[in-house]
Amino acid sequence: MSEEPYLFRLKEGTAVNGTLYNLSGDYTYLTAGYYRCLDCELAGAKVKPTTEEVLDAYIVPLALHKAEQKGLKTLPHEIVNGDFSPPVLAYPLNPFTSKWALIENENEVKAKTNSLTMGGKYAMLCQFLPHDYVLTEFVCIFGRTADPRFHWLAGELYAAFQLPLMKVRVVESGGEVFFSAIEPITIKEMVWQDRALLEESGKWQE
Amino acid sequence: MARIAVFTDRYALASSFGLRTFTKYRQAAFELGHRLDFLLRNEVKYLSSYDAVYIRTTTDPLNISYVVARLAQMQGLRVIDDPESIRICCDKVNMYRRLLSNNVPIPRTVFLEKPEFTAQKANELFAVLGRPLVLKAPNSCFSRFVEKAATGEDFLKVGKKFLRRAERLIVQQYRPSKFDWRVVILDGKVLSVVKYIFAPDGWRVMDRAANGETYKVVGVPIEKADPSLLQTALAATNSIGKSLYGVDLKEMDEGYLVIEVNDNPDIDAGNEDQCSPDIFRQIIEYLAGGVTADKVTGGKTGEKSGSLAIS
Repeated sequence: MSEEPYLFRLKEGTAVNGTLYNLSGDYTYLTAGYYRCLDCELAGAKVKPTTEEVLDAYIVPLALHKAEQKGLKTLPHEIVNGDFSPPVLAYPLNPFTSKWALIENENEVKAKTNSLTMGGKYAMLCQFLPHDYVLTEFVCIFGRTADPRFHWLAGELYAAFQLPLMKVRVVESGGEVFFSAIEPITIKEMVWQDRALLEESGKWQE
Repeated sequence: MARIAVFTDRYALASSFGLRTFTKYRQAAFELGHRLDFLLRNEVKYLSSYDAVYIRTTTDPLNISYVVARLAQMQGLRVIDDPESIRICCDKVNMYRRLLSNNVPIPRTVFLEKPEFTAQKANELFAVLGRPLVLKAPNSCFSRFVEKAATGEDFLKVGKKFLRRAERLIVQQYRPSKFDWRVVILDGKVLSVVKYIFAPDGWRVMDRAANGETYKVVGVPIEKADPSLLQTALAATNSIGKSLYGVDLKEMDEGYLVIEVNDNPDIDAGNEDQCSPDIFRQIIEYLAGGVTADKVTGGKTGEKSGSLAIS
């Protein structure tokens, strides 16, 4: 096991007593970060995120469903076999890749769909984009973000998904913000403003 | 009347073997007064129209089967396989650790993380567990990503391949046998017992003999099965959950060893139903839960589906 610290306790009064927070940041299924959550669960420890929460957050159709249940806005979306009209954001449901794609026009449909679905073997989810879409990403640390435009959303996403660290993709259109997906973000990938937010939140578990 | 969706794929529906099996489910649903539809991946949006969903396609937390299972659970549908069972059984690290913590007998097992995967560790394991060793990727299924390693070189080669998609892998003592027992269990109840007899010179279900011969399935009436076999299988599934499982066991001098607990077990017409002809009906009854039937052939309307008599 890596010697880097990964378990974190929030400041007194800000968390449920005894809960451990896995700050691996990349909780992808079967990776070291995922197994750290599983190790805690099997040992009977209270850990955030749980393995169920990880999959709910990283698997886009589940994340969209959960976000909608919490009242967050999402774009129209559908699991498709390959018949759809661009522009779309396409997310594969494929164990061999988590790479997503922006498919902007008909000319890109075949090649990008084949790549994401391995020639149709796996499904994918399309989010249908409005004509004035703008894609934006921000980092969310215990429900806070260094990007002032998304302070309100960061807290709601943390309440919904319970991932201490997440990179969030949203679509902005017509003055509204639509939730799109959550992806891994490790501490190494963070900028200093994000790290400062993290250091303010608690202390490393010894 | 319960509305039951069987989530499957075009490959399963296209095979005559698959179609024969699906027909059995459909007949069972009809006779019990329930509706059964097939649901394909571009029809997941209709999931909420059903009371229950039965997943009959390869399960993996990273493919659409898990999406269907979890969406069904979130929407309050009865579901086989439930998402937790998929998460546990599709990750053999998770599955074996639960068996170990519940004292279910399994072959001697070691879990290795990537940094521990070295030639020195291989030699240590050969010294303790013998040769060959069995290496399993956490996400192995249908015996794929399960291989033997008799030398340090094999050990490193196989392990490197398996560690491409996972941070950990499983190393087990090799326990040869000519067959595995398969016990199918739903909600803590044994539905079927069969032997999977390996092809000559094979050690896994997927192995083929030089002449192309594959494994054979031989049914055994549940009442004639060794109670110790059934108890061991039930102890294994009790460590996992209350869904539908296929438990593979080896019969050894010291007793039965659980080789795997599989979610989404094969239940094929002509195989697992050889001595358990009611298996399709029992699964439909479970999926229907307490929903009453509208129209029944050979039974009465308005009773719990599980109590209906089928002529």
